Amino acid sequence: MVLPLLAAIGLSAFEPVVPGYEFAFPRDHFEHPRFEHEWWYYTGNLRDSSGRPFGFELTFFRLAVEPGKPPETAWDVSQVYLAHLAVSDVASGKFHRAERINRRGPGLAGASETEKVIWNGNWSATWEFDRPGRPAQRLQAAAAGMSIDLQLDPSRPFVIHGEDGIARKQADGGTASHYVSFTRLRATGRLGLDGELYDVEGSAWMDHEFSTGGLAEGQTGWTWLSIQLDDGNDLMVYGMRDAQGNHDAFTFGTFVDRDGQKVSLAGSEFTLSPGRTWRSSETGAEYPVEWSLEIPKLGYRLACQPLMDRQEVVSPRNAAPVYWEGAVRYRGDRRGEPVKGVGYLEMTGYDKPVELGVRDSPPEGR
Amino acid sequence: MRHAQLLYRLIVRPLLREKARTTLTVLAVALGVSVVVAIDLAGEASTNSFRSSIETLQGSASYEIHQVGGIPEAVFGELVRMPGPLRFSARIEGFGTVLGRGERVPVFGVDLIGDALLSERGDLPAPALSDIMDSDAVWVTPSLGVAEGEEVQLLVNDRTETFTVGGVIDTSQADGGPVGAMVVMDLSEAQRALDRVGRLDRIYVHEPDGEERDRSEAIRQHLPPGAVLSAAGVRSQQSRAMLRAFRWNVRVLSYIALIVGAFLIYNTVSVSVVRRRPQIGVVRALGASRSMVRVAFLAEGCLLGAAGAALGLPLGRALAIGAVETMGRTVQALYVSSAPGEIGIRPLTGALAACVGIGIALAASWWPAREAAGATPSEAMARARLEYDAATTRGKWAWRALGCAIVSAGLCLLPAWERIPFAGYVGALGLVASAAMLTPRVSAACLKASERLFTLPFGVAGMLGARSLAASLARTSVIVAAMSIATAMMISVGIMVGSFRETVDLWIQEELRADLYLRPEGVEGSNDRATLSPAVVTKVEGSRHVAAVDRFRTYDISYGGLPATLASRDIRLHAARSTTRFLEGPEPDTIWDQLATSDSLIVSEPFNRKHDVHVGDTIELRLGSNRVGFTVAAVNYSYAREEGLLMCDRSILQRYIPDSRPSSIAIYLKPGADIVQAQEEIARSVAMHNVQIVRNREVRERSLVVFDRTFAIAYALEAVAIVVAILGMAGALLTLVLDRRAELGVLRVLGATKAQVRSLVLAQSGMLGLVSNLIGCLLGGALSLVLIKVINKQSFGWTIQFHWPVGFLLAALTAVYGASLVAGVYPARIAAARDPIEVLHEE
Repeated sequence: MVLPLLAAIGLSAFEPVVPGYEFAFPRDHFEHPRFEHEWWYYTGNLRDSSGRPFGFELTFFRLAVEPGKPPETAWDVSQVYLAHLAVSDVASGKFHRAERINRRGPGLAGASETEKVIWNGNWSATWEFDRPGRPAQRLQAAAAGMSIDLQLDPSRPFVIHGEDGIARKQADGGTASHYVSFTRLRATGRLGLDGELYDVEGSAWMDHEFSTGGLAEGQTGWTWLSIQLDDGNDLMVYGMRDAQGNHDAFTFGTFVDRDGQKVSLAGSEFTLSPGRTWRSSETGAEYPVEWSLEIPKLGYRLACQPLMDRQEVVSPRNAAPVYWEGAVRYRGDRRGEPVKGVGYLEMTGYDKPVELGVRDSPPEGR
Repeated sequence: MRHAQLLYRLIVRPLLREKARTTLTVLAVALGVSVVVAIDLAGEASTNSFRSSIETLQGSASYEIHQVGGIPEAVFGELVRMPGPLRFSARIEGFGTVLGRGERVPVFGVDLIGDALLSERGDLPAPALSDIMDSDAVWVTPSLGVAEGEEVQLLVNDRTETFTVGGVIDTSQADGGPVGAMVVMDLSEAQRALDRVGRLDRIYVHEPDGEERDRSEAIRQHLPPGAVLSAAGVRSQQSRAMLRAFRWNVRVLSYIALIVGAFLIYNTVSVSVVRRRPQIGVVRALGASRSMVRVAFLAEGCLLGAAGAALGLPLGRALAIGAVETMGRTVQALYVSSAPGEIGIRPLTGALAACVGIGIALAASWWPAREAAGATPSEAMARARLEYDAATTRGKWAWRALGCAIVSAGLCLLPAWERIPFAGYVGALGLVASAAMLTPRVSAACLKASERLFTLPFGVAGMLGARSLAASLARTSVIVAAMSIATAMMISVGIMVGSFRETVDLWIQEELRADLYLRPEGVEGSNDRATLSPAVVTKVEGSRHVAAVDRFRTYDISYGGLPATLASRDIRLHAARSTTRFLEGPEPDTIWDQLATSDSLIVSEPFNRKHDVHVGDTIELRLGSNRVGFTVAAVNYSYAREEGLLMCDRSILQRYIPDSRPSSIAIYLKPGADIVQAQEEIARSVAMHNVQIVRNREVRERSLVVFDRTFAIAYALEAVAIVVAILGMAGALLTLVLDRRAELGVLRVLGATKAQVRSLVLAQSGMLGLVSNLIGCLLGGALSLVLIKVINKQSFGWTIQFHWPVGFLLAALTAVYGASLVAGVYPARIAAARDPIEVLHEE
């Protein structure tokens, strides 16, 4: 999963993503300022005690700005941190979203290995390394009309996607990323919505990805699915898309079984086809909100359906591309045995091709 | 219908017939009203913009955090991570001069990336992130006259920086009045440009709507002990409280012209009553009731008042333009840096003009109207009754005057309310009233004495003049009263300002003993806290002419809910080279020792009065991150700061606020050094910094220029009052001439020449001028004491040494006397021009 924000001019100052990267933890759970962009994505499906379903997304982005001159003050902009909080209230069909933007400043935002916290203002993910390989993470965030306070406990160890430490997204090796996921975390805690507090529990997914460089010529966006099945297995599939909506060769997936053992899937080993579409009245973008996925190698045939259609995230200050990020459910079978599951679907580039480089156009409405 | 006719016959027709007199009265009222309107408008405009420049960026904050010397920025990093719904906004605040325009404007640093509350507003910049990364971008208000993409040079502290205009702030959507000129830039840029790296000047705390929990305790846990958490806008409110007292004083001054105007209306309506006695008799005989007659004369006053108000409103609007500038300068010199806002006429202004004009007219015509209504038809024919009445009641009025004066003196002893000396004002008004009551008696005595006196130089004309004035005493005394009050006001304000100026001048001479003073260029307002870079000080100290350098640093602090100024300097150096006069405290050497070695300070007299703080008291100050108890070593006379000045040693303050940049430096030269040469050499060595170096004498001269500017408005108001009084005097003399036309006719028939008649009238006006001068002098002296000892002390807290500004007084008295003669010229001509035969036929 990639979400380029504003990339700075030139790539020279940043560290490239090359095969053979040697991961070290817990260091690599936190920030890598020498890479151009980085994000920590928390998504999940929750239910309150009466079974009322909710979806949530809490994402922390970091974007490095190529330094022009050595910083003189703490407020000099060398890194921009963006964060999105969204809650899908399936019962009412309401989608709540909020954005935070900060520079590092005197501790306004960051992802610190020493503090073991990823934060933007008072939105934070606090890590605790009490169980080897399975660090607990506490999410806290509040915005107008919504809040979350969730304890996430990994049900299985994290996986590193792709081969040789990198997940490829472009042929020439330009864009690739270092990509780590906790594919299943047990979530418990509280969710606040319009003044009401709900005790919730469910399952969450966490992605951490850092890279340098942007999309290749002809790539307009991507589709990403996270799948947590009731047979105990997890799946991630990902595809770069062109203007015609076709997924190109750099489509890949990862299968993770209940013990955390991973199987990488090449694009040729599965088919991902769009279904029903939904048009956003806000941006005019038309998203295929239903998908079907077949993985003959593993015997899966799955249909993906959104819990609600309106789950589009628009940055008020146009700091990030428009994207659809929503709670979904899966139904299907594995070699004839029925399976179902939950997860999240992400789609970008449907309003216009995902742009790279500094945004010169003024933010909308100003 | 009958009423309308009565009103027309008895009031409107005579008014129209006596065009000159009516015009003079209306003009006088118009002037009075216009001054009140102008001051109201100017006060609003010159304080309004102050409100907007600070508060525009405050938004809907509920709290603000401030720390003397700046808040360490790490505190902000901690605050923004507090769980819960609070949002925080960081600010850097300073001033810069726009090169090319010379205008000093507030410069604000805001977090253009993270301050979401800022970007949610329509009027402030929410630039694309890429623009913020261009580190020289600034956003400006339209009044600066620069367009997007243009360069703007700002003089900040002691250097010039060039910025590119990233955009013009849309001020049209701002709520809460006009937005003052300002420059907004990103925080990182502001920290660098204003030398505030690592510090923030203010943090605003925003609560979500409808939040009722008190979170101040939770916030306070993250703050250093020295930081002050207060309700948002509290500093503006404190400054506004200071401004309010100032506005009240100016407002009261503006009412003087109106009071003088009231006497004129009183005079005009009284004259009307006397002259229309036969008509009153006739209408009463024909069945008009007393109340109808009374209403008719009240209506006359009302008409005059309304006409004056209608004319005064546009005139006031015009005068306000000049007044805004003068008041803006005063506000800037005394309180805050702010450019005056726009002058707007609100419906309220019109209402104020109407109320003031008609109200004062009604009050002034009350007694004459009663007098008219009281006459029985037969009595109304008897001509001399009013004069007779005046003569018989004189004794009674003298006692009333005495009683009034005693009560007034008592009022002057009462304390101020909310720092506005209302009792003092009422006391002053009471003294004016007693003087007015005494005027007939004093006038009579003077005229009697002058009868003989005037016979010598003016011959028969003098004697006749004095006698005829004495005969129409009721009327003349009203005009003398009006003239005296205007004179007294001028004299009292003249004495007060003159004494004040003398006191300040002496103080400056004692206090400022260094040869040269150096400070950042462009510094204007009293809250302008520009600083010098340490490099400048090093260079100055390196000069071969320099013996010592005293580094002066000031901070805005808050004490007891009011703003104050904390200053530090090298106490030993200062003590050795200048004289400080103490109001309270031990021997000067003891004071200086205590200051140089311990947490002690000197407080200025205004501070001592405002906070009732005395020698030996310990006051807690929040300095930097600490709370420190300071012992008051002495109270000194100081005229530098209206809000009060606290002075401590530089090394002591540096313990708590380790910022070595001075606000200004005083340079002492080596004995025998050539000051011109030294100044030139020092200027050359610091040429790359934007600083100004001035000589001792220039500082003194400039201070006095600022002083004079501050009181320019007072002088302007006095002048208007005098003009009103002169208009009234001309009107009154005209009446006198018209009333005495029979006598003048007889004089002519008896052989008096035109020249003799003319000099008779001129002698009369000269006499009135002299009597007014005399009463005015006495009353003015008394009023000046009230101003100096009561009103000034209660509103500002300064001790003013009494000085007679002899030159000013002589000039003022001559001017009044001269003006009274001028006022007689036109009536004298009328009197002389009349054909005696025709006049006699009329009778």
